Amino acid sequence: MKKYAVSYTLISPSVAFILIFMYYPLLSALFHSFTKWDMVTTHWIGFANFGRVFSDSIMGLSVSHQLIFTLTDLLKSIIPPLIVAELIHLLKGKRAKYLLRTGFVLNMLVPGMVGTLLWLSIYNPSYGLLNQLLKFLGLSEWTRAWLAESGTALWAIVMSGFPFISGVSFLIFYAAIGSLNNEVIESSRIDGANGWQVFTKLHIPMLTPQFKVLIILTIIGSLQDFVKVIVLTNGGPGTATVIPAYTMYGAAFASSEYGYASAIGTCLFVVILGLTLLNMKFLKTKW
Amino acid sequence: MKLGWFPRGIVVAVLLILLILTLVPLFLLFFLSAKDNLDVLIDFWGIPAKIKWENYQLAFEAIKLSLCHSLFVCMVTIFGSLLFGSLTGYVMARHTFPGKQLIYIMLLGVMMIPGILTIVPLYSLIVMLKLDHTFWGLILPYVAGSQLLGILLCRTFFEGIPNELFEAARMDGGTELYLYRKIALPLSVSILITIGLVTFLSVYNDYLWPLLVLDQSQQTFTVAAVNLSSGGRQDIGLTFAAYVLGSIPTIILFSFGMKYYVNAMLNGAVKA
Repeated sequence: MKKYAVSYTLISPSVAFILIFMYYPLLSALFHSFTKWDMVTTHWIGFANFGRVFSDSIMGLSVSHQLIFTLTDLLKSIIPPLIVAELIHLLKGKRAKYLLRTGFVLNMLVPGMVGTLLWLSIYNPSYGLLNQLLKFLGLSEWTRAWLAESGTALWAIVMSGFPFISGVSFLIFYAAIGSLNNEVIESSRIDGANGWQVFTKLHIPMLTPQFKVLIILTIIGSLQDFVKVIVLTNGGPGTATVIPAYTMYGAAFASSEYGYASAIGTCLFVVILGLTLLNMKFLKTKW
Repeated sequence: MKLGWFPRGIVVAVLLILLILTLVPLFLLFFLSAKDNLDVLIDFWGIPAKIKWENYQLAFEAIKLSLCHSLFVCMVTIFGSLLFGSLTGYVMARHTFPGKQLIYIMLLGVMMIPGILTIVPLYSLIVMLKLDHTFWGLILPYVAGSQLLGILLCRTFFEGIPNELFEAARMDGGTELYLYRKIALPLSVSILITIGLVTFLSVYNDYLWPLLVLDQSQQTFTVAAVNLSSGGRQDIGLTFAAYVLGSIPTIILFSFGMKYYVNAMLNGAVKA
């Protein structure tokens, strides 16, 4: 063993960190989802927490909101960045391309939380940009407290970040389009394919790996992104914007039902894992 | 490529409109940070007669401590995650030992564990270790998570370095740590900068963990920023000035590191 001692010693910090702060909490979460747990005492209660997850009316509501968020997140993370990346590639000038590419990632200069807080201010009833703009256009009767009315709160969260050209998705598409196999595209052009055909018949299939990565990342991110909900609406008004992850957070840190919270977390974990595997299976790479 | 079916003018116009819409929040940030409270409420669209620098002065007083906390936590986390990530990446690239593949899979398997699942037990662990209300309660879990990217990228990178370089130094009696310090690390500066930048962004931006673990007096920038914007009597100009000040660290880092970051992205960090 001695000749391997150096190797084991050098990797031991990494391994220790992972075991203590990743695998131990993982096992603890899975175990405690079958218990009533207040962080001091633990009682085994079998599947009771899971039964509650599936019968709780707030959970039902949370899941339906989550479906809306995840579906719109997928559309937002793919369509606008792809369109912009394609349009920039249509331009000829190197300088124009560079300037636009830089312009569309400028928002990354601001920490994400500041971005969310800026949208909080845009929806503010008194000084928010949205209401101010409506007043400016003479549409005062359309103004409202966007995040505080149950009719608009959910869609106000969905629309935050408009027009959804996020830096990372955009860069992924921009890079991928730039490195597509040009010979195939050129020869199809010579055969008389127009721009739209090149886009739908060649670009989209060739971009499958990028779609795959973005779909997985977006779903995983979407199911876990409840900080946005905490900051923008705190789940409200009432329960108008609750999602499962937010319900889990509330179960744990507002009502100290750590076992129930762990069960919600375990369900999310299973859903994330399942969707990731499905996604990898069905979106096989062609190119 | 020829435009054919699409007139160039329309492409440029569409792109410019989208660009302006994308940057609206950024304009708003600087615009409102320069205005007086009354000014915002009464004459929202008016260009301020004179920039209210006082906003920045007051905002700095309000958030300087939280900025220091954030920067401290970021620096220590980056140091830890770069050190452990590159060491493990080095060993995984250049050594063979029993169980190597298993350990590597175990390390990367962590990426399949969603953060949401471990929030509750990790919090209970931090309390059990008496690390709540300390910055270590943030830093240690951050290092555990953020070293993974380092391990992954450093392993790939170190595998690409020609073996002769290491063999020559080993002949001269260099120890493993010597090889790592004198050969591997200096060659990997640009990759380490990228990893550091990504780590900084995620740690600086985290809201939940500082909110749960730290005292009010230890709050980080994100927590302070949310508090400022949700208080009852809000000073709008001051709040926006605080957002601007809190963005300075990311602006500085990006102006140095953007090149590396964008190149890493463009050169197929995600080339599947």
